[in-house]
Amino acid sequence: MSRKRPIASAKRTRTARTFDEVPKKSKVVLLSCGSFNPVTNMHLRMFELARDHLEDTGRYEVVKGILSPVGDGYMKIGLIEASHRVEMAKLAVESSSWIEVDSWESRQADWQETVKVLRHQQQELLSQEPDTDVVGTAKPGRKRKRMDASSATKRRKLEEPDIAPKKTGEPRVMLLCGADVLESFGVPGLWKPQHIEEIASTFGLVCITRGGSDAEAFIQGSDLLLPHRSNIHVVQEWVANDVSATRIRHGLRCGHSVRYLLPDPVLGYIQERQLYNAESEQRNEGVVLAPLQKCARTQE
Amino acid sequence: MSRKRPIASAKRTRTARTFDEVPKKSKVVLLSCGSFNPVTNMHLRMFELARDHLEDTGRYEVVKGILSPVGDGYKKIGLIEASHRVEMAKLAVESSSWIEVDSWESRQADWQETVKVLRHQQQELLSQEPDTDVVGTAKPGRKRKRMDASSATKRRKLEEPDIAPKKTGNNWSFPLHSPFAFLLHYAAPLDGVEIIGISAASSGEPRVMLLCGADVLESFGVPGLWKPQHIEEIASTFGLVCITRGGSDAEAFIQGSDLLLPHRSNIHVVQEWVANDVSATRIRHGLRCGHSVRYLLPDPVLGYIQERQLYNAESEQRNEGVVLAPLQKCARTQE
Repeated sequence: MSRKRPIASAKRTRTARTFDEVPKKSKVVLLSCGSFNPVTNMHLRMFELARDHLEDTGRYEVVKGILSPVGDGYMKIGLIEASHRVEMAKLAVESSSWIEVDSWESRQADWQETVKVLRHQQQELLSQEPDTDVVGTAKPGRKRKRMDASSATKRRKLEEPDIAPKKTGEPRVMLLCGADVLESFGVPGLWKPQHIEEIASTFGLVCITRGGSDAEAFIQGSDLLLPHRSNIHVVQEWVANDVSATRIRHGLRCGHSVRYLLPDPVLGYIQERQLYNAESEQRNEGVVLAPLQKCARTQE
Repeated sequence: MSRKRPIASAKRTRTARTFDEVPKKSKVVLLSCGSFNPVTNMHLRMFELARDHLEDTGRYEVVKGILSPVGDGYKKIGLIEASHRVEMAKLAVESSSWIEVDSWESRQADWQETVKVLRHQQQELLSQEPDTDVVGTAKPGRKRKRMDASSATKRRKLEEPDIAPKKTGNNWSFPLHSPFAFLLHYAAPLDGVEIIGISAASSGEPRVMLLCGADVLESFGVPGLWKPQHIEEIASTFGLVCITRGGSDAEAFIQGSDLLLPHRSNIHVVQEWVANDVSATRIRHGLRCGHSVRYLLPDPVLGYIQERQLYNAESEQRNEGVVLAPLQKCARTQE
């Protein structure tokens, strides 16, 4: 069957020799799991940085970004209701043509291990009709926003996916995270070794970091990660952007402005409902974090 | 005449004892001078941080913020046309109820020393009608946006300014509408006395304060960049709000400065509590490389840049080899 060829961007034509020699690229969906309590400009920047990094290699095409807010079952201190966090995340990406929110994880009664969310997302991608262009393109009905154009790259229609797994046709889901998440792999009881293995081998990671060297050192020192080094992309932030949700909540409690640290619609949502205060910050106080509970149970 | 009393915010009622004992606050307008090439979220954050800091002291009410883009005469390398920079700044603050753009500086043919921009802004404030509430309140016709409410502080009408002239050291200062106003146009010093002509010393009228980063403060030490008498005037007559990451470098600089130290109480060092290193230089670099700069600056500004393809390798070379205006000016006065 005939396939639509990708339109090479201005930046990349220098490596393409002839029309038929344009190398096939792996399609990627970036999945970011987190509390998003609330979502901030930093979370959004991570997607942008990851996409640029992967596409600059010439080997990938990032077709979609997904924010997956964690469920209330995570039991993290100060974690407000998932419904609010999902709604704020949706407001944050409303004007984005490629990033969206998936609420599946947030709707599960029990906390879901990250690898299960990755598997679920991959399954969702594979189960979509091969001849539609919904997967990986702009959200249906959404006029593509110029500001999401990366290096004047035109968004391409998905080539018709092969039905065989691991072919270049279907997108692969990769975990987008910060260096702190990568390094949390070393925290006893937080991650199952077989899950770390699966994340690194089957899916892959894109890890956004400030210094770069700590993440690199961590990978080098990890028996689980090192064999899959080529599947782990360490991306350096070129603009320091330390906008943590924790500090934003603190600022809100103190009556300080957090404007310009997170999207205006998200801030408006928070203020209308007075979402964050001393009381909300005490939620789940004294409760053991779900992953650690789970680990304790499996040891029994 | 009866005066409207400020409504104490929820956070501040704990210090107010009775309704009549609410202390009078100095009204402040924050002025930020810069290239804004382009304006970024960091520039906007500085206003928010400064306002919170000043109002947290309980002594100030910040009534307005002003972005004043520098004119093309500044001759900084990579500086694109002022018209674009002003337009982008306006797009950036369109949804703000208290921050606005003043293009006066950008429209001057020659580069204007910062102290002149401060004086101009102060003059503008004083020349406005005392019984209107345009000065220092939300932009006319603009519905106040909830997200700009600072700790639920309500905006107040200006009290009528005093007309008495004030003497500070060797400097005389007068409100614009005083009988001494003609002295404002006096350029040459008289017997060692410099006429400044602008004063907001009384609590009624807003005073303009310079909002800047620690880098600007420390640039006071660069030979030839600032006139000592201007540093003096900025620190004494106007005051500074200086946003800094560490805080200690700014403090050390002030302590080591003969010009600044006497006016320590007029210099407010504000610590950023969220690291936000979004420099316009890096944004321009990212744009040249074809990298995303989304979420580092307001979406309308990014859209404006992309529609016109404003920043590229060529724009970054503008003014290459040209001496920066303040240094040119200094060289000329030495002759």
